[in-house]
Amino acid sequence: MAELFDDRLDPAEPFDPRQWAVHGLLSAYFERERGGYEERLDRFLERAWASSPSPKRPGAPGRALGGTGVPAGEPVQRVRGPSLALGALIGRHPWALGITGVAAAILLVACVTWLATGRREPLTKHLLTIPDFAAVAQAAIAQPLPMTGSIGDPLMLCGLDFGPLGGSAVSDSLLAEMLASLNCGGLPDRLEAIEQARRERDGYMAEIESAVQRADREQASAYASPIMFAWTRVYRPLRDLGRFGEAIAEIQRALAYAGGENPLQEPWPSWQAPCLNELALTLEAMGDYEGACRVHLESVELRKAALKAESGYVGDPDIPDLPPSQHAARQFYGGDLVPPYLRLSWLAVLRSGRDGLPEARQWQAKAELQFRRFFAWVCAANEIPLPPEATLLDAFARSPADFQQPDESWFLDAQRAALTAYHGFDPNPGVVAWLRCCLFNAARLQRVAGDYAAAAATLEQLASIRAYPCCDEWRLDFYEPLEAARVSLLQGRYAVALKHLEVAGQTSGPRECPFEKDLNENPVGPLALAEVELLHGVALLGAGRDEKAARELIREAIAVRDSMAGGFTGEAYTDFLRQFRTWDELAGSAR
Amino acid sequence: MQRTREELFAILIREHELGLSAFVRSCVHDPAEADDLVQETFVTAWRDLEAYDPARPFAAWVRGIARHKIGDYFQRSARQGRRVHILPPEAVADLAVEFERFNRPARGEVYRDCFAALQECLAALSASDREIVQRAYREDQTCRVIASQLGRTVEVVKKRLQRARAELRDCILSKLGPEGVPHG
Repeated sequence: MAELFDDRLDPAEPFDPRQWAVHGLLSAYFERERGGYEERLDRFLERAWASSPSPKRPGAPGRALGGTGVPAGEPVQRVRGPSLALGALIGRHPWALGITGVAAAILLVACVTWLATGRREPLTKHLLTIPDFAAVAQAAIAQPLPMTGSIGDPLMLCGLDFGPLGGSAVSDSLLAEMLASLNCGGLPDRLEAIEQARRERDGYMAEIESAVQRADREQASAYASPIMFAWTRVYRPLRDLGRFGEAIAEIQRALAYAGGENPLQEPWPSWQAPCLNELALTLEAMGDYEGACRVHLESVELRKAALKAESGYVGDPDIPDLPPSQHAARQFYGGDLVPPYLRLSWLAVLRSGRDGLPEARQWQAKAELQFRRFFAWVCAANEIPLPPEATLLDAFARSPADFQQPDESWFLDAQRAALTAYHGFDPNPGVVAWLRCCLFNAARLQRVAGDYAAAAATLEQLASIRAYPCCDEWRLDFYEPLEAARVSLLQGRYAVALKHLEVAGQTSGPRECPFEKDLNENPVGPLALAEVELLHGVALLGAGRDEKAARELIREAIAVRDSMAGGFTGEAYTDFLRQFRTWDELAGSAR
Repeated sequence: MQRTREELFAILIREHELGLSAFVRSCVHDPAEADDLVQETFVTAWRDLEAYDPARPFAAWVRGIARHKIGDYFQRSARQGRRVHILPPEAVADLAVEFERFNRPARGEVYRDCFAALQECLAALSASDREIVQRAYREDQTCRVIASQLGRTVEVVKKRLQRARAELRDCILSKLGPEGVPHG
């Protein structure tokens, strides 16, 4: 958690301007010592030029004003030349006394020079008037987007027929061009990674078959997870690449396999509902939000049925007053129903924008309730007092330290010992990861509601809870800074947004999990990377930096989004697109 | 030789950026926010250049713009419930007055003398005080971190830092001299 205040100046002490002033001097002095001074000055100047100065109108010729004793190219430290052609200002400098008398003549010469040369400012400096652009860009940024990239829930089942597939089909050549423009790895590498995952999956399938032939069912069962994880590395990147048809075909095969069409000829219920969620995510990426909702709801029913079957509890797992056992409590509240609830929450916003917020908050509340009950049970089992009205984060904060910072070696046998120590509860990093997902969803709902301060505060809370990237199916290592950047942009904090985007860019690559390679992930997809590019371009423009690069980034991002975003359209985005293209065209023609 | 208005404004920015940054950073402690405010100040200065009264020092003029920006920033932060240390307008005004002391009109409007003096004054600090100052400002460490690394209490570090700042201020003013002419 960030420090509340800078403790180098004690807020408890009475305000002393002498102390605070030296604080500012030291801060600026050492900042300059770190370097980047010239770049910062360049940024200030670029930003100033991009605005419309009062002496001139956009596009008006520049005026040469005043004479100077400073040769072009001379270092500007301790510049003794005149500042502006503002006589009195010049007059304050002793050396200028001799030239103030000829100022009018110089001005005349300047005017003649201007008339002779007809020098013009580059048009782009005045076209991209930042305040106007920022308003349009912010409206586009505030618009809800599908969460795209290598994301999903651990998978599985079913042979549903979804009929003809919609969504955009992207050609290999366009895809290759887009990947190249985004500088995120070539298409051949990505396709090879998918083939590699297929070979891995097929290898495990051969192993399971062999084990069954040996009548070693226990060994055969052990291949279930490796097969299904390998499968995720087939269809998720296919989805990321916009190959929705192939992705859905793979998911349906996986569903059938986990539903009993495997050498063991037995269903693997724990994989069925997550597989439905993967299917829903693919529909979401295609822009079919209604279809995605239906499939998620189906997964909820499957999850509830599985919970009842496992625990023997006959009530509604969604709202149990008291589960019949600690084991059941762990099953109920350990996150089984949380993933689809959070997905449904965001889908309500995708479907209806701000009008969907009430429904979105209901799903969010259901997810949080699951967690709060889980931590309440943990506290109760460990005799830790917890007020009944405790919030989710209160409950989390009060639970034993091992539940807040579980052992990272959770795949090892030590976890089983912990189950005993905590009366049947498992301080699993996966639970903490889902808690972070809960906060992430809360933050983006606050952002859609326009409460950016609350969203930023929630993201701070999220950042204060330890991340377990290998247990985090949402790739929050990437999406958390992306969301933080979005919120910062909406607050007009461009420099901060750029820092968040840098972090997002650094976490977009493949994810490697040291404890379990089956959880390794492919790099995030081009659509998510395009999102980073778009926000980066807007942040650069807002910060008044490198306008040319910013326009280039936005152009690339628009090309990718238009090609891959399926049904994604929106009034705000359309406005943004139209205004940007107009500016971009005019700016290009002015070069 | 002719210079455009843009080139001359660039010269002014180069002369005054450091001093303005120091002023803004004394009020706003988040460096990224402070940088944004300095940038916005110069953009406004450029836009409103016609309104500038050349009879007044340029530094004071841009500092006046910055004070408005800082006031807006504090108001916005308060409205949004952001966790920043908000100074009342009187305190910001006091700081502006304090910065006038480092900016001697008789010397022109250049802060570089002040920073040259600061460099010398830093070298004159005791080794232990200088280490604390450098950790706090060069390494951006909080007093808590410095205290834990040096095996001292937070209170001791805060007091030492406070003392060092007071010494630096006296030293800078003494080096600038009554006319702002650097001594020795």
